[in-house]
Amino acid sequence: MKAFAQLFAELDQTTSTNEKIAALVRYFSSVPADDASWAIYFLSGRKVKRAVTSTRLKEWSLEVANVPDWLFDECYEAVGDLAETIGLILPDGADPVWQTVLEKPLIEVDQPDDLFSGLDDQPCHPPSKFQVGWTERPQRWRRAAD
Amino acid sequence: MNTALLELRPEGLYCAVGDFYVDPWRPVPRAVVTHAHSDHARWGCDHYLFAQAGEHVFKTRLGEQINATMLPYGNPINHHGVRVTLFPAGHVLGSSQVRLEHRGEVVVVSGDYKLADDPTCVPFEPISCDYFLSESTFGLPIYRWEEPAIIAAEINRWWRQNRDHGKASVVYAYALGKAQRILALLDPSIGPIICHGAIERLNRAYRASQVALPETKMVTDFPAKTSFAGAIVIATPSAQHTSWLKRFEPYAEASASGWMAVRGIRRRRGVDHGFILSDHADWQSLIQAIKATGAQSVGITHGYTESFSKFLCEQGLNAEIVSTRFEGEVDEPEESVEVASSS
Repeated sequence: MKAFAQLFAELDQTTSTNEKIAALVRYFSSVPADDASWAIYFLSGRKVKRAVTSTRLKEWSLEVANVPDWLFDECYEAVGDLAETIGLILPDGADPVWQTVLEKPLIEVDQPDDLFSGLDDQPCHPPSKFQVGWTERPQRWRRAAD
Repeated sequence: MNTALLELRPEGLYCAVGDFYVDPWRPVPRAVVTHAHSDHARWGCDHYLFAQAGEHVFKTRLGEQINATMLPYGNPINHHGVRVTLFPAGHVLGSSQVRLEHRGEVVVVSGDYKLADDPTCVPFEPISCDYFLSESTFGLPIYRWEEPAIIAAEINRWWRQNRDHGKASVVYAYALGKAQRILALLDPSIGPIICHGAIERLNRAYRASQVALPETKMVTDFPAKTSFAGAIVIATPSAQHTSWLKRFEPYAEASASGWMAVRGIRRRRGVDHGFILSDHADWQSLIQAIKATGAQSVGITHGYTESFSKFLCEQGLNAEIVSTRFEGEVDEPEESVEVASSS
């Protein structure tokens, strides 16, 4: 997953097509075939089965970040993307679990059962794994990838 | 406004008891000025009062001939019975918070400020008061700054990578404050540092004020057809898309601003890379600074005034919106154009 995060950061951080191609070549010539096929799956815009609704994710974020609902909406308006808003609004946390998630190959990260299974049926409270694993901001992805 | 010491007039924030303005946006007889950015320090006032630490910066911006009184931080002056004291705001070199005291009431106009480390200016000092006027440029919880050392490492790594790929690195930054803060974060062993002329003028003001900056050069210091591969170029935002940049090709571009925290804004800016570096307080710092004053009444100006004041009211403070013409961190060239045309 680290390699994929790095690939994403490299694609995101250049406006040059040649550099994007170079980053893709570097990635696909260095990762295991299983990872590469998952990378193609994600990069072509496909998604895995939804593990948790975005409403629930938003509710958990409000609670963890201690931000009122209306203020979250203001933030969303400024950012324009729900996942990024959540990433920016969550406080930093100690994250040994997150580091081990990053170390996993994509094929294992893809097993959402492991992280969120059955949570949609639970009453609304942030699961501890969400707090530990997701309290990392997007910028950190870039650095974690280096 | 919820204080007897300040009112809003067409010219700006006015202290009637002392008969002077703070950061007026029109020419007035007497102006107390928090810092030298163009939305706070305007030309044409008959008399200015600002921090001694900002002497060279203010004079670079407003001209040597201005009529000014300069106060060391913490030294009060009495004007028509109002006790005026300047305290460091940590925004840029020479930036102040203005403390006004009259008959037991204390008001602090903070101007622009930040709590983060910055070796190029004196750090922000919390001042207790009854009324605190705060900016809210980044008054949403999505804005949270990293330690400057982390950003410094990011900039230097990017610079080194570009150098190793045979490219120059161009960073867009405000001519006053941001550019010098970046210079102080650079590792000069990576390569030469080149500054746009508008920035070099301010570098001189900083050096004259005994602020340590690494050695910088201007394009005119090099013979024609010099290769700038491996160099870092600090340019004003107005230089983007101009022919001035042609000589540095091939180069990578980055913008250094608090707005770079949001991916969409970075994409619209059209640069490869964004460094999240701001001279304004982030969400947590705004709240921390306001709490530290102990003020019961708070005025919120330029930025996310509505949401931030609503949030503070929910926290039990008496917060009001004060509609000024200050602009905060504008990721646009207005300021640098002005510097360039005045030279």
